[in-house]
Amino acid sequence: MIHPSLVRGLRAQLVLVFLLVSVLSAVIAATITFRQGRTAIVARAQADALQDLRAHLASRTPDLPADPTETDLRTLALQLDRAAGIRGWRTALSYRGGPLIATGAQPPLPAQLRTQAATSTTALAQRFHRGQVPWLAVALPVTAAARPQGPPPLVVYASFSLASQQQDVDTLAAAARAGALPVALVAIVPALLAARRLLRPVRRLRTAAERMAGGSLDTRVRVTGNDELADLGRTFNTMAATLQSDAAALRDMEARARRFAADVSHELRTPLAAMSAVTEVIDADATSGRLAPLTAEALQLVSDETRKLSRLVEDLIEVSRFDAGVAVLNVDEVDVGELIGKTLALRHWRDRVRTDVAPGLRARLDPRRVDVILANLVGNALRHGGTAVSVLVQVRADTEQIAVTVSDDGPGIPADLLPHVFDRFTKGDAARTRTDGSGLGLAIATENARLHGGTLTATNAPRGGTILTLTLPRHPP
Amino acid sequence: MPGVLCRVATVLVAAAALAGCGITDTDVLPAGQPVQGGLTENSNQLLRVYFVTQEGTWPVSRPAPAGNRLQRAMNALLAGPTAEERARGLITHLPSSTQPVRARTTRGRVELRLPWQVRNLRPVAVSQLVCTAAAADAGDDPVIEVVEPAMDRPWRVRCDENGSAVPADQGASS
Repeated sequence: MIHPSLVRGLRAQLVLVFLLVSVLSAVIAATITFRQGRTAIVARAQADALQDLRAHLASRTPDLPADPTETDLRTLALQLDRAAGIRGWRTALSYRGGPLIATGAQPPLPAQLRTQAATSTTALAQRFHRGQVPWLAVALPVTAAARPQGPPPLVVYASFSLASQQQDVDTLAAAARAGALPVALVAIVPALLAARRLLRPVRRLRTAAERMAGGSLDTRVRVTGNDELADLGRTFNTMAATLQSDAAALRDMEARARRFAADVSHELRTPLAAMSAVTEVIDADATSGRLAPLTAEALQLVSDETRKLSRLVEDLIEVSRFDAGVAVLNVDEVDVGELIGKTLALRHWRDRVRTDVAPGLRARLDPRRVDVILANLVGNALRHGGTAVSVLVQVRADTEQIAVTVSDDGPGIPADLLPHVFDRFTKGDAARTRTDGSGLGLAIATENARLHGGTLTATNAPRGGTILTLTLPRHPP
Repeated sequence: MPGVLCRVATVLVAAAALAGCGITDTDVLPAGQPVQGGLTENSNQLLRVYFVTQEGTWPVSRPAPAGNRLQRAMNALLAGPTAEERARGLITHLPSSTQPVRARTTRGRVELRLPWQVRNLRPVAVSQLVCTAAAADAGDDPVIEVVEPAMDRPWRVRCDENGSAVPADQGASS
């Protein structure tokens, strides 16, 4: 009966509940009042009628003989009828269980009342309906003064219409109904006020929670009062404070960890530089053929690992620079084709990599960082694509950005590895940990691309092979 | 929540419907003590003297000593209601008189000789006289001949069911 969407809001629910409660109380109060009033009206009518009838009977019965004739009874009925006044009751008399004697037409009497009155020693009353009109019938026994304990010889019946009382009751019902509706309508005003008062702190809390979700952990709500909502506000503030301090601690720990990694890398640099210098001597010794073959092999191993270690340390230092936010972009206007050609030539990849670059394409970018990215992408393609891999570097450009794709016809990247290919220390083959790469190359490439405001993505070509795409804006930030 | 609201609304409607508006019927209920009084003497030992209530004439019962019932009833009527009867709301509309109402029965007719002119009496006072005479007479629905002073022709009247004097020639009993 009430559409769910209408009562979804807290305000609507509050108002509705308030309204229901007030309507319910108004209806109950009106009903109780009405019922009491109705009972009082009917009881008063009955009591008054009985009192009048008793008074008249008490003043007339002393003159009744012990063996009243029908005329005597009829005279009494006439007297009682004439005494009815505005109540308009009609009476009938029954002497010693005899037939009803009345002056005119007999009054309507329920059979139940007649049956019980024949043996009753007390007055009786019964309400009944005749047609649509409520009636009241009473039976009043008259006991002989000489034998008050004996069965009453005479029973006086009277019945009269309660139509005027019915009118009063109808008026009362109309008044009760008319009273309940305005009360319910007036209840909307306090309901709205209460809802507003209740919802204001809730709204403040929601705004604060939204701001906290947006990252401003220093958000606090203003707490007023001492109720449950104020408690909620205080709890919220405590939570925000805890969250803020936790976030600060976490940031602190993270910064310290990064500084540690950077420090370690820097500390390793100097001894590694010395070791690198030594490796050249060792290499010369190992290849001279003057040493025992086992020793030469061992020396070769040491020199390889030392080179790898120094490259790893260089990469780590680069990563920590990015993490610390100290990496800066040295933008220069360069020819993209020339840049790619230099990158390939420097690493002796010219004969293994094909290029497709529009000549004279110029862009503003950091040539050193783009060189690092390209070297990584091409190096990866050459390394993981197998011995006879064919690598193609393509450059496409529009007014907004430059897209450099490095594609190979190798086996491609395993699907489960694809989402993590740019994460740090991700290796193409988990079992084959000892590869040339440090595992940081693509991560560094990504950071470099991001520094330009560009992106780096990896996909597998539908016909096999990997496609790595570098997108750079033509006008970096 | 909407479910609860629906339930509350249902209860509300039910309460409103149950309220009922009219006067309801009842069983037979006790309504107090019976009325005590009267019903003591047999009719033969009673004189019925008609006095006046707000609702018309009303026969009161008086003890009937032996002797001329008719004349005694007339005397009792002229004497007026006793204090106890007055307390019950009974009055008389007969004017006081130094002379008695003479009543006698001859051949089934009751003759009342009044000390007043009938036109000076209220109709209800005539009813008192006629009905008291009729009740005292042993006969059934007797004709009362009312005789005024200095008037030979009597008024022939009788007492009807309502305790009023009506001319005897018009409709024997109303």
